[in-house]
Amino acid sequence: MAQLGKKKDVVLVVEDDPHGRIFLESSLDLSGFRVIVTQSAEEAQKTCEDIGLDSLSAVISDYRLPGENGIEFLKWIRERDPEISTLIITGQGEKSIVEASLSAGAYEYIEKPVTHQKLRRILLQAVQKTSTQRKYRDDQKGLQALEHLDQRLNVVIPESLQNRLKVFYKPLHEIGGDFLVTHDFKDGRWVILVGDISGHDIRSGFVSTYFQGMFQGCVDRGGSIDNAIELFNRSIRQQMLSKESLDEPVSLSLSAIQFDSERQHLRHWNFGLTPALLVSGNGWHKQCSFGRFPLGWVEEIDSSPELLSLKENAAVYIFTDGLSDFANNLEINPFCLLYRILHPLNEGEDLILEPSDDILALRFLLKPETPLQQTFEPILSEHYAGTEVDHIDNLQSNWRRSVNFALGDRLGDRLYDLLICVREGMLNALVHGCERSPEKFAHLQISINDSKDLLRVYIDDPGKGHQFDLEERLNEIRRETGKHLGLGIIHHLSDEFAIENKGTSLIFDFAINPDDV
Amino acid sequence: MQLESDSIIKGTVDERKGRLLVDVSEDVISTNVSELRKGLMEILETSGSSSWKALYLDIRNSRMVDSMGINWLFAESVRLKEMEKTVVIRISSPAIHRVMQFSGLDKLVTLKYRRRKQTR
Repeated sequence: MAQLGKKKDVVLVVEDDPHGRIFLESSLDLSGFRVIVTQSAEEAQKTCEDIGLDSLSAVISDYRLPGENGIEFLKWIRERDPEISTLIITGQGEKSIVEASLSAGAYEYIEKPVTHQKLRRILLQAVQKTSTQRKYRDDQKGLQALEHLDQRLNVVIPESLQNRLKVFYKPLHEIGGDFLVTHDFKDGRWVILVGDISGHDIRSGFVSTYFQGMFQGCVDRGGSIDNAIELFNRSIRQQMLSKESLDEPVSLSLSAIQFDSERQHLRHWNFGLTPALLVSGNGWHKQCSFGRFPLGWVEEIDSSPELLSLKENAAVYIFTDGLSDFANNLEINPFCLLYRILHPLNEGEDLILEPSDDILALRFLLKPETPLQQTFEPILSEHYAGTEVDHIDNLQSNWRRSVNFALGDRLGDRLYDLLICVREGMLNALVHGCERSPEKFAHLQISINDSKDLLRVYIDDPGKGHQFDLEERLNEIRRETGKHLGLGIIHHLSDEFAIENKGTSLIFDFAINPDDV
Repeated sequence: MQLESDSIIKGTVDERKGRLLVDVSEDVISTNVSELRKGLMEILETSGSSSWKALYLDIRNSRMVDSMGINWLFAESVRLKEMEKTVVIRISSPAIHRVMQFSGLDKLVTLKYRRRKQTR
């Protein structure tokens, strides 16, 4: 039995010749289509507007029509509905018309004389194509709506955290990728979790949503964060990897903090993300542990958290790899990029960022009573091996670029005071403290306090140090040029200078004075 | 008379004024000190000490001088003083000016400081 069109499939026919019109109508009707017949392009356009193009499954038009020709009419159709299949009937050997109709977007052409068999075969294909195209269009629309929803759900900040939590979120893809989850235990404890799912396809988006729902459900019902993490790792291992599939396995990197204001402590979990950074009230940075593999990589995981004291610490910073990768491309320190995206230089400034991966970065104030502007914020934090002394000029270029990126011209001429001091301090730390060893590291930290217009530098080295009196040492320098001159330069160029831990920690401040710009 | 070519330090003798003009194009810092020391030595050898009385060291293109740079400048200044030469250092960076004042180099040589915007 010959295949028939479905009666719900409506075909619009445009033909001015009465014989041709009768043939097309009866042939298509016999093939199982509902047929609407018109005699000119104008009449056909009016019909389309009356019934709507969505109600048609295909349009077939003769080329030669009174007034507007068939190709012009098909163009009109395609401008309004690019998914509908359009066909043109041409005379024999009218190659130029065939070419023009195909380039106008016609699905097919039919050369006269038209036979019933040929017409049915081509119309069945055309109607099927319209259906496929429309389904694809609807799927795309649905996917876009889903992507938009996914993006919005990925970073939801509860109202009670609005004044303590500052988040920057730049999704590169509209599905999967980075997300933020918060949970209020209603007893003074909060958890803030940043996740980075591998991949950006629908599967990754699904796993991300699954984790977020599972995590919320688990902690809502009194489950611990450790349990939620273990449960997810088991699920992802069993359900994603047990299937025989050539797909890339999905994994999840996460960094979570749970703070307990009553007990004054902070728990930190890290699976594969850059460690969180704690910043104390006086600008001291402490990097949390590097943590473990991303979830999904190994069967057995240790989900116990790192316990940290809340006492000295004022804020915690977490960001996904997209930020460090992008900073790396710009040859700057990630923290200056973080500072700049959280504090645009000019009001309303929109940094043109073209990262290669999603960026999700946050700053969470551990003490709600401290206003955001009154704490130190990191603009540079880096550990350098003793061997890096051989590349001190490159390091210095990175410091200059980083400070410039974060602060623009705010330091003015004092930028070079700062660079000279940091160079002197780091040379001392790498040569004497780290003894130029690849296994010993010095830590350079630069923070800014915007409300005090103050830049603070810490340089720590792992050396043993020795007891000495700074004033006595400075007097020595004044008497005898050349000896310990670096210390003298730092003392002279900075606004405040202190030494701690037997000289293994240098701390110096620079006032940011608009007059220096 | 041009005395040095591709180095970060170049010298020219102005015989009419009796000056040896030495230009430094980079920072006076630890990583450059060795090249600066060697370059100045060659300039002094080539120039012949009888044709000039004062050395004008132009470091207006330098943004930074660190402790090793200061030590080098001190050592050269003392050496030139022993040769009964006058040393004048031209600077434009406020940071360098502050370091030189602190180090006491301004007591040994004449500093000509005129602040200008750093272009490097």
